[in-house]
Amino acid sequence: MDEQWVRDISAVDYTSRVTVRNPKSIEACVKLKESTNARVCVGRAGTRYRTETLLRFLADHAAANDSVWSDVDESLVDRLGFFKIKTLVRDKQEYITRPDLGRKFSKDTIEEVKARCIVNPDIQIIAADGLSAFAIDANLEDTYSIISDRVRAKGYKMGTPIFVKYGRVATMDAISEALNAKVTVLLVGERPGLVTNESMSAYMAYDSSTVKPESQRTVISNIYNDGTPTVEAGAQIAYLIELMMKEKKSGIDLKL
Amino acid sequence: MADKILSVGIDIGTTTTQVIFSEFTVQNTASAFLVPKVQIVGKDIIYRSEIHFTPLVSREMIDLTKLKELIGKEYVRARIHKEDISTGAIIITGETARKENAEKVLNALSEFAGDFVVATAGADLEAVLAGFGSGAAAVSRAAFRKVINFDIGGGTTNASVFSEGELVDSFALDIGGRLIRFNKQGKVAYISDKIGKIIDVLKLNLQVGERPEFEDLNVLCMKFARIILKIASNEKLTREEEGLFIQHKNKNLKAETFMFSGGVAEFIYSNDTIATLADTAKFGDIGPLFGYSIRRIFKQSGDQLLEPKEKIRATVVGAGTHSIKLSGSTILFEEDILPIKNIPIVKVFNGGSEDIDFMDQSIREKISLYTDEDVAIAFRGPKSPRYLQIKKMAESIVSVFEDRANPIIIVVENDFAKALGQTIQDRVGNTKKVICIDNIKVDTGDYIDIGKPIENTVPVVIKTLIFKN
Repeated sequence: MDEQWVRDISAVDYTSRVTVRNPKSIEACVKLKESTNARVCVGRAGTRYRTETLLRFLADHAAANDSVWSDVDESLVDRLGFFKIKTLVRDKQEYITRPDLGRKFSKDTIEEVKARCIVNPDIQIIAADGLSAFAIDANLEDTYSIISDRVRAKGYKMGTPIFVKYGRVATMDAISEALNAKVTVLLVGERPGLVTNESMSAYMAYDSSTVKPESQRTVISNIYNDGTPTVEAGAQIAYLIELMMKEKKSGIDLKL
Repeated sequence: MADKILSVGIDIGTTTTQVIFSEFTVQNTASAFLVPKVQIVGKDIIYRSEIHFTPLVSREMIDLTKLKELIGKEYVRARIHKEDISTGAIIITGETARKENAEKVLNALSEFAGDFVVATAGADLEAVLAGFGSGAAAVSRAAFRKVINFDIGGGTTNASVFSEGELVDSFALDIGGRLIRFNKQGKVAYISDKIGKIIDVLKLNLQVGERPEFEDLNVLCMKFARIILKIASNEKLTREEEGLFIQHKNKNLKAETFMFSGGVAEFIYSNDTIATLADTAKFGDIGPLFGYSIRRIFKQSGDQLLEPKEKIRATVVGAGTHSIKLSGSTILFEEDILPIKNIPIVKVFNGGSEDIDFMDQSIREKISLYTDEDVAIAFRGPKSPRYLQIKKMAESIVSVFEDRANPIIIVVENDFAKALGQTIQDRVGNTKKVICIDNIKVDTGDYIDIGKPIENTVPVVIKTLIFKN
């Protein structure tokens, strides 16, 4: 090989690439591919994948792994003015094996949050790495910016944005209780799949609380470039925030 | 959680007038963890009217009083009140659209048939609706084939070509079953001027007031049928054949499957043999013979004809069920100014790349034609735009509207209308009404109607042609 580097096979856009040999209708294959993220129209070798398909499958799997084991770009959360805290988890290994620790904070952390963040906010925004650091890197800035612009324009009191390292969804309940927030929004990296490792979810709750069931939360998932566009998801979250402030409820109690 | 809405379709054609009522089921089809995706999930036709002759006062005038009475009776028979109708279309088609009082008729009926019913006309639109009503669009999607549907009515033939469910071409021809009519004695009562040239070229002896020879009619109908076959199989037409196109020619796309609808189609798919003048003239026109000719020509060529779901009712079914579209489900609107009707589209950027940096300039150029009229600004917009791009677009739009008193109405194709709408709204505050919708594709020259919201989306009707004053 002349090139010094091996080509990144995951850089090829496969969403419209038909690799089946001699298709009866290439247009029909392209249409089928447009309608799904599944690996259709890839052809086969006997009963197995062809080499190209298998390599891509392995590459996508590796990319998913990378996003779990990577850390969020801290310069990004600093630039956006997030206050950074950590759960009881000490490292990624523990984060994966001990979900319970990823939901809790030390007493000191909670005291620090109470001392340094705005208390009694209308809206508290939290970001957590969750299972994909890349999801936060890719989506946080636009989603957070459009939500906070809209919410401020509507005259609501915004809390200090908080970034939680090694954080799981339930951290929003503890923070909400500590700061006595009305609506709490948690933006968190989703467990990556083979289609994307940049998908983010937004969990929202009115009067979010550690004693309430999971059904208190309203969720928007699949926020990424080819899913729900980042800014449009942000706009929808802002709309739901207004609705929750008006109705004073969330989750299954909130009729959309 | 499903909403039901009632839709009406009224088709006033060259020969016949028909009414149908259908019920749409509208539902959010996305899971609870996703942003909503509201769609029309079911369309059921609940009433089909009789097929009435279109009442005329003279050759140039539609009889509005009789027409109103006829449609009113169908509402009574269907037990439907016009207040219950939330969408639909009244279309005036074929040669009738060219009658002197066509516009007046549409406006009069528009009032009559419910709050959000659109009055519309145009040969291309008629072709599209017939293609949806006949099932051609659905077949092209299900079978991954290019399908052409010819809707042959009394005055015109309206053709539409579909590929994978999408319209790829539509056009119309001055060919129809009622271009020659007979009186009760079997003498020619009327010959349309549109076919005079063809009759001359074929040297046929057809004259008003005379009893025609069957063979002359047969030659003419076979000629029409051959023109249809030539278009269907993408063969070159002669100059006088091309003269039969209305407004514009076809795009010469080759279809793999052929379908016919309209009144004449009833004779294409039947087994009747039309061999005498008496057989031909049983409905007072050449329709039966023309249908028989098409059947013979396509049998000779060996092309299979696919039978449509609807024949004579294809256009009215299309009008009643396919004239409406739902916008995307994350959009922004202020309900108190809806519905809005007949808003001209100002398409920013003429195709090609859309450079947001030059957006305000582009809008200003296009909007200058409309001094104080409401307009809708339309563009494709980036797929998954960044927030910076949203702010830039919002600022361009707001700056253009600073010295206009009109509401800001934006129609985009890609999914970002709520983000853009909110950003615009936050900048104009309460000084202006804002409507920003997505998932809608329009072109310059189109007009748009936006209805009252259904489950957070709005029903939209795009009209490619309305009568110019």
